[in-house]
Order: sequence, then structure tokens, then C-alpha cells
Amino acid sequence: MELEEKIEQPSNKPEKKKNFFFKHLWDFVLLGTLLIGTASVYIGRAIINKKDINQDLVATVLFEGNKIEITDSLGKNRNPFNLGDVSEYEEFEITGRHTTLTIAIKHNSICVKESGCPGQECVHEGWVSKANHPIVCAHNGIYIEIESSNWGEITQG
Amino acid sequence: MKKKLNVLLLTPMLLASCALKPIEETQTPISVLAFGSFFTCKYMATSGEAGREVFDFVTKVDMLADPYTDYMGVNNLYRINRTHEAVKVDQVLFELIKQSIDLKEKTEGNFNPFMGKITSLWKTTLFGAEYDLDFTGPTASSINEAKALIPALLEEMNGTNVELDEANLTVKRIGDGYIDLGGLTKGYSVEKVERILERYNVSSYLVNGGQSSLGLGKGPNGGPFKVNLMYSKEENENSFSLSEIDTSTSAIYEQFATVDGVTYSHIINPNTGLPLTDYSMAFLSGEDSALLDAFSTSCMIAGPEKSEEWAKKYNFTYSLYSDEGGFTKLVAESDKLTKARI
Repeated sequence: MELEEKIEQPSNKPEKKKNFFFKHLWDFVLLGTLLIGTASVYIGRAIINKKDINQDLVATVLFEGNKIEITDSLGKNRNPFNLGDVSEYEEFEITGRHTTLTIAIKHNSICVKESGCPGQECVHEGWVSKANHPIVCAHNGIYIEIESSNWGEITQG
Repeated sequence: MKKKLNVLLLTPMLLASCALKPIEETQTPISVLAFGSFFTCKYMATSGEAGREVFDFVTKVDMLADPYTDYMGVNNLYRINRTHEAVKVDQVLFELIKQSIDLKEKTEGNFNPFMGKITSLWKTTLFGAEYDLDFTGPTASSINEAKALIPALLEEMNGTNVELDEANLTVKRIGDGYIDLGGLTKGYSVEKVERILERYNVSSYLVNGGQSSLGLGKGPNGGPFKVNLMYSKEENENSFSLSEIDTSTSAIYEQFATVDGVTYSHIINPNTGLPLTDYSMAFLSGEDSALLDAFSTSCMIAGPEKSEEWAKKYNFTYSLYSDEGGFTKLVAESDKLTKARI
């Protein structure tokens, strides 16, 4: 009899395993959900961070430290300029402390095309398409700040 | 069953909230029109409290160190330069003048705060009357005319000094040279702004004193900053990975004028009184932004041997460049800075 029981025991094992699975079904669902949830959060953050690094540039034109209104032909204020959204070359005239300046924009780039300042440093900067590389026209009190969320890179000179 | 469902719903939310920052720090940008350029500052903080203090401080230094403008009720450099009487000044201006005298000694006269008249003469001659705001110094209509005035102005500069009374915070100018702290104010301000930010427990910041003086805290993600030097022929030719350090540059590539094939810059050699230097750019990094500001110009003037000696003595690193067709070409560099190259 004892021998028969011993022989029968292995044949019950799959059933026991099955019972164990069904008995702990919610635990497995819980564990699985937790793993998927956590992974989603981390993957989501990684995507957001990656997007930040590659985010398009935004240029803000300041006159004597204050943001000014720069309107397009439709009368819409364009300052700050979302340079990433710009698809066509455009020009805008702004008034500085002493003279007027013409600024030009194209996709992810901005420049001072013309300025009445004597030094012309702002014009010599040419097209700028890097964050933290401002264009300054001190004579006219104009400062064009170029930013992206990735402010860990800076140009110095 | 209900308990398990609650746990099922709440746990991912709990984990998600743990994965995000508990209190979100935001980037606070400050821009101040100062020192003939823009002084900017970006920092990560939960509030913008420090910003107001930074703005007020930079505006104050700009006014106090202005040698060309008289502000009502403010004893600034303009007023000190127009009297031989002792002038009571703000603690900030006193400290700034005192530091300039110390740096004149350290740089062996290659940074000279008494070069005001020579600086203005060249600015008005090369770049026009825009700088001649309220200036009573000499002017010239041509470069040769300006050069002819230099020997007398150098003699005057070398005969100028100040008497500083620390107890009464007074400054008395001796001699007829004008004080001009343009080669120091940006670096000094960057250094002080860093101290303000640190007082507000801000560790991630970027203080930009008109592009030539930088104060670097930790980068936006806690890592280093990538500093790209301008005027390089190739992109990223002179890029450095730096964190929690200050940097300063002096270069001939901005505010310059080419006359008869000779390029004159805004960097004036106090030994010759001329806006001509053998080197086109110096880039320094170290702990004290004010010291770096004075030494970056001095290294450009004195050359690589002296730069190496000063770098060891005053604990900074340097890289020195000459001009090659409008771009920089590396001449000499500290080993430490070479290692920081990307």
C-alpha cells in the first residue's frame, strides 16, 4: 500500500503545480502589472529626456533686458521665435536704442542681417543655430537669447 | 479580492511617483543689460528667489563701475575719476578697486586699472563716438594721431594710484590717469553671483558674464557642461568638458577694426598702450572668476612662458591661441586643460 502511494505521488505533481498557479493567479497578475508599470515609467522618462536633448531652439529677442513684441505681416507676435517650427526664411525689422536692425530666421537658425551699429559685431555673428550662443548688439541694447532645454552646452569667446 | 485590487491599482502609481522627482526644479533665467553686454544666469531651483538678488547685484556693479556715466547720488568710477578728493564709496566698489590693485601686482602690470584714458582713446578712435558718453579724456581723429598721444598717456597711467581707506570706505585718486575696471567687472560679478546662488543652495547653474566670463556649477542633469570656444576653424575643435569651475576668455575677434591691413582690437597692452597683441585668444579655467578675468588678458599679452608660470603660481589652467586666417590656432596649453578636451 505504501509502495502504491509512493508510486502515485509523481503522477499528482502537474495537478499540484496547476493548483499552485491558479491559487496564486492574482499574485502573478500583480507582479506582472508591477513590472510592466515600472518599465513603462522608466522607458517614458527616457523618451522624454531624449526628446529634451533634441528639442528645437527658441530665440527670444530682448531690448534693454525686456522681451519685445515682434509682429509678422498678419499682426501676430512671433517673439519668442520657435525656430524649430520655422520652415521658410523670414525677416523682421526691430528698433534698437540708436538704429533699426533686421533679423532673419530660418529653420533652427537666426541672424542679424542688418544693423546700423558702428561695430557690426551682431551682423558678423552670422547664422546662429546653437543654444546658449546669444547675439548681442550692445549699441542698440538688443540681446537675442537662443535656448533649448539642453543648457549644458555653451559657446564661449 | 478587493484588497488585492486596491494594491494592484495603487502600487504602479506609487512606483511611478517615486520615479519622478518629488519637487520639480525649474530653470530660472535672468538677463541683465550690463557692462556693455548682457549678463545672464540660469539655474535650477524650486523657486526664483535668488534671481532678484542676482539682478540687483549685477545692476549695482554696472552702475558703480561705470567710468562714463554720472548717476545722481551715486559715487561711482565716473566721480572718482573727476576729483582728487577722497570719495566715499559703496563696499562693492571699494572691494572691486582693492582687488584691481592686487591683480595689477599679480599680473605684473599686464592688467592695469589706470588705463582708462588710453582705453577710451582707442575706443573712440577705432569704434566711433558711441563710447564717448560723458568723457573728458583725449580724442584723436586718426590712428596715427592716437599713437602720438600714447607716450604721455602711458606716463600719466604709470604715475597714477589710489589711496584706499578701508575704515571709512574712501577712495582717493593720486595722479591724472582714469580708473577703468572693464577688464575685471564681469569676472568679479560672476564670482559674486555664484556666491549668491550657493547661499540659496543652488548647485546647478550657469552664470554668463557677457560670454567672456562663465561661472559653471553642476550641469542641468548634474553632469558637466560642454564649453565650445568660438573662432575655431572646425566645429568642436576646442570643446571642453567642465563642471563646478569658472572660465574666462579674452579674444581679439570682437570689437576690432582693420585699418590699412592691421587689425586693432579692444585688448590694449598696458606696456605699449597699443591695441595690438601677439596672441589672438586666451582661455583660462580655475576657481576665481575675477582673477581669471584679469589674467586672461594678461596671458594674451605676456605669452606662453609667463602664462605657464602664472598658471602654476595662481592655480589656474590656460590655453593660448594665435590667429590663422581669422581662426584660432593652439599655441600652448596646460596639461590639465588638455585632459578636459572632448
